[in-house]
Amino acid sequence: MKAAVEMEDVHVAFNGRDVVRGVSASLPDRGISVIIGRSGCGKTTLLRVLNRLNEEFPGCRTSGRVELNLGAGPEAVYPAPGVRPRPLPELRRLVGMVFQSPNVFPVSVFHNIAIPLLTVAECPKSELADRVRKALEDVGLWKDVMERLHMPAEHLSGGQQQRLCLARALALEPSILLLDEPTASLDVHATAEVEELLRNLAERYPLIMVSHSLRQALQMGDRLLVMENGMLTHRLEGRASTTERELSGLLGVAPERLL
Amino acid sequence: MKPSSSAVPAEERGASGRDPARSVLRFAAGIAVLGILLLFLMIIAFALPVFTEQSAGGPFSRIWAPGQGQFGIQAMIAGSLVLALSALCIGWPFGLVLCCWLFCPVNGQSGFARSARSIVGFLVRIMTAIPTVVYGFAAVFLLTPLVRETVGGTGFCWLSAALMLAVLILPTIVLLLSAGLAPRLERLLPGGLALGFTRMDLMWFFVLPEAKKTLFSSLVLGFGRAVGDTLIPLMLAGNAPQMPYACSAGLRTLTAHMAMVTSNEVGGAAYNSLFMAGALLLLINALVSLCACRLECSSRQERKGGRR
Amino acid sequence: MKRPFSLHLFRLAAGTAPALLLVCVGTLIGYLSWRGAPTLRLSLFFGSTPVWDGLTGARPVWDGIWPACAGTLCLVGLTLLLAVFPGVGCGIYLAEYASPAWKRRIGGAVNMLAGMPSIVMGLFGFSLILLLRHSVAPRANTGMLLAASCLALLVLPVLVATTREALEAVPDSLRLAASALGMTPARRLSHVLLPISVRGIGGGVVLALGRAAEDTAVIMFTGVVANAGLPAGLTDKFESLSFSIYYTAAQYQDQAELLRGFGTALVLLGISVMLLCAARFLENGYRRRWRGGDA
Repeated sequence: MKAAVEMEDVHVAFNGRDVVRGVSASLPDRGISVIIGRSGCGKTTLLRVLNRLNEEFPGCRTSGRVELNLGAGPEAVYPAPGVRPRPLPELRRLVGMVFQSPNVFPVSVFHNIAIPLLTVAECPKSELADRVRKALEDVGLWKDVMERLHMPAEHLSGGQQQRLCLARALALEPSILLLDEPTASLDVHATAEVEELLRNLAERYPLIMVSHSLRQALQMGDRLLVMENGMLTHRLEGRASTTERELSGLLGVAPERLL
Repeated sequence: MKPSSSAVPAEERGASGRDPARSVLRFAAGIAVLGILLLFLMIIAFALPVFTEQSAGGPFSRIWAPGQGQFGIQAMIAGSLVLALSALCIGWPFGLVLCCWLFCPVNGQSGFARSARSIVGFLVRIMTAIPTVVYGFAAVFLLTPLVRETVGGTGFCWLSAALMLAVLILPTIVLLLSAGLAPRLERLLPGGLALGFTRMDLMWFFVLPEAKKTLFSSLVLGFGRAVGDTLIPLMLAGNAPQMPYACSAGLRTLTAHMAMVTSNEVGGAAYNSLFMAGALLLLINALVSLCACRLECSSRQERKGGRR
Repeated sequence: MKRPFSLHLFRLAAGTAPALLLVCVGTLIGYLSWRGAPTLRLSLFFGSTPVWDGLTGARPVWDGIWPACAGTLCLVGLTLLLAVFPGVGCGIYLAEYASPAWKRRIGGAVNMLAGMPSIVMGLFGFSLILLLRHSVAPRANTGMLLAASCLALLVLPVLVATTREALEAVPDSLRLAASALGMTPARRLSHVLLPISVRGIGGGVVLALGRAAEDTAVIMFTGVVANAGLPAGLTDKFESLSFSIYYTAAQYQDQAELLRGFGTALVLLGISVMLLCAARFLENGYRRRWRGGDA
């Protein structure tokens, strides 16, 4: 299988404090890769290495080699001698990201998807309605909101908002999807919905997910990356080959006291 | 941590490389800063020659009698300081107790108490919008007869102006104090009430003794507001160019003096005193700002340190 | 619980303070309304001149306050025209672009300006004219444009502070989400941040409007006069509501003129309070949006 992500000796420091120290990994271009670890171990930072979102915070230094396959073979993401990476907006369009809490823009459902489409993807106005509809269908939200496209997105339920955030990322036709604890702020029912959706999406996109729950990691992950103290300590391949108890042993915590 | 776009090197930022909004906004900020600099430079440049050239009847001397070539503004300096301080003496304690009353309903929250508090709170906000000239106008016809009958004189005197200035700075003080005190009280609330304290007890025993910086910065900013007002002293203080000596006697502040010089005199040594007075006001208020900024910075650090 | 005597005293004071405030301000506003309200008729604005002629300036209005209203209106409009770009722009720059060091420097300068008495701005305008007279334009005189520039300087801190606050109230998660979608900072600003903070910024503009309308000290130095008729041009003298109130208090000749003064004071008070309420309305609606939404 081709690799979607290649990382070699990646270090990230904020104001001189190391957060990620020497991570190397190769992730294939289908299925769900789950990064787990205790809070503060650097997993979110590692995820944000891939779309260079760490650079939005002051005092960040990233080193190491990161290559992504964004549809035209592996390409370097960070500037290096002799390498001119894609401009940031284009990189971030091709690497979709969904956050912990649903952060819909306080505009209508339609505009939540349309504004990024118009500004980032420079989508022509004539195709706009179709592409918004397609994105909403992809996340199974179309039936719920087709009548109410112009109501404020904040009126949706939590699970619906999170799916809208996914739709917003998918509308830009990314090559990779990053998910930062996508169900952390959702209730049980909404979590199940989003997990189901992610499993379907995993057939079309490489998904890289940070998870806060061992159960979710075991059920969803095609491979698990265990992080500790900024380093990648274990890599487990294949779904359900480990138990929660083994995994919590690796993390050094009791399963009920998780993260 | 707060995201900032400045962390990303400019040349990598957009497809076009340059961010047009950034330069437009920087231009706008430049205009604003230029305006501020120009203000300071102009006033200092006009006042500087007056500071350096000393002559007998110059602005530093004591007596203001333009007819006899005497252009001293010492009396106005004293008038400004005395008037502002006396207004502060009335307005600040009033503001403090008012602020405490607003945040400390005594026994529970009865419907009447709550609506009374929201009415007074609203009134304080409204007061920030009342033009000082309207205060002055009303006081000329309401307050001055009252003062005339109580303490004698014309009614256009130190006392009238101080009372009105106290009303003027009241909302400033109340709002500053409530911004500083209310969050501290909130933090104490559930625990403190559970121990059997009333809100007023908490305010008195725990919040006020710990909030010296907030109290002091409201004092300083209130002083700045009082010393800078023009219309109330001009309309109420009588404007006699003399050292303030009694609360029924008139006095003249720097601000009122400036307003009178521009309308009555043309050029010459009188203008020197004008720029002198302007520069002094500039200086006083710059000091007030610096002082308040210091206090705010250090109290913010304190709060941050306390939370960790 | 045993409480010290000083606390009892303090509580007593705290109980009487609001009553005292209500009495003071109530008397003040009540008195103004009592004297001023009966004059609030069309004749207050236009005197004996026919309304239409007065409104358009076809005939001069001698015993009405319409010229002063028009002067204030023009002045405030011109002030906003001059102040909004630097004020709002500087606020956005401070909130979104400036480095911490510049934030501190520019923020400090703006703070200092905010504390300046308005008469200092007036003196600035006055000295500007003196400078012009002694250098390039010996015939330069005070007028509307100069007054508006000085007022613009006066309201600048209000605009900067409210714009900055409005933008900084937008949760950081939205900024991050917009960046993660690949928006450039400029697009993030124009398509996400500005549209959702426009109410807060609008509140600041209205507040600035009120500050400009009420001020008297600045325009006393920069070209206001008691009788100028309708504002004629950028360099001409003008009338204003606030100045005509001051002028009436100092120089009124007869009872009719005094009553007109009360009417004028009531009109200005009404305008100021209405502008404040409008600003509060805009800002409150804006703030409520983020309560609870910012998880």
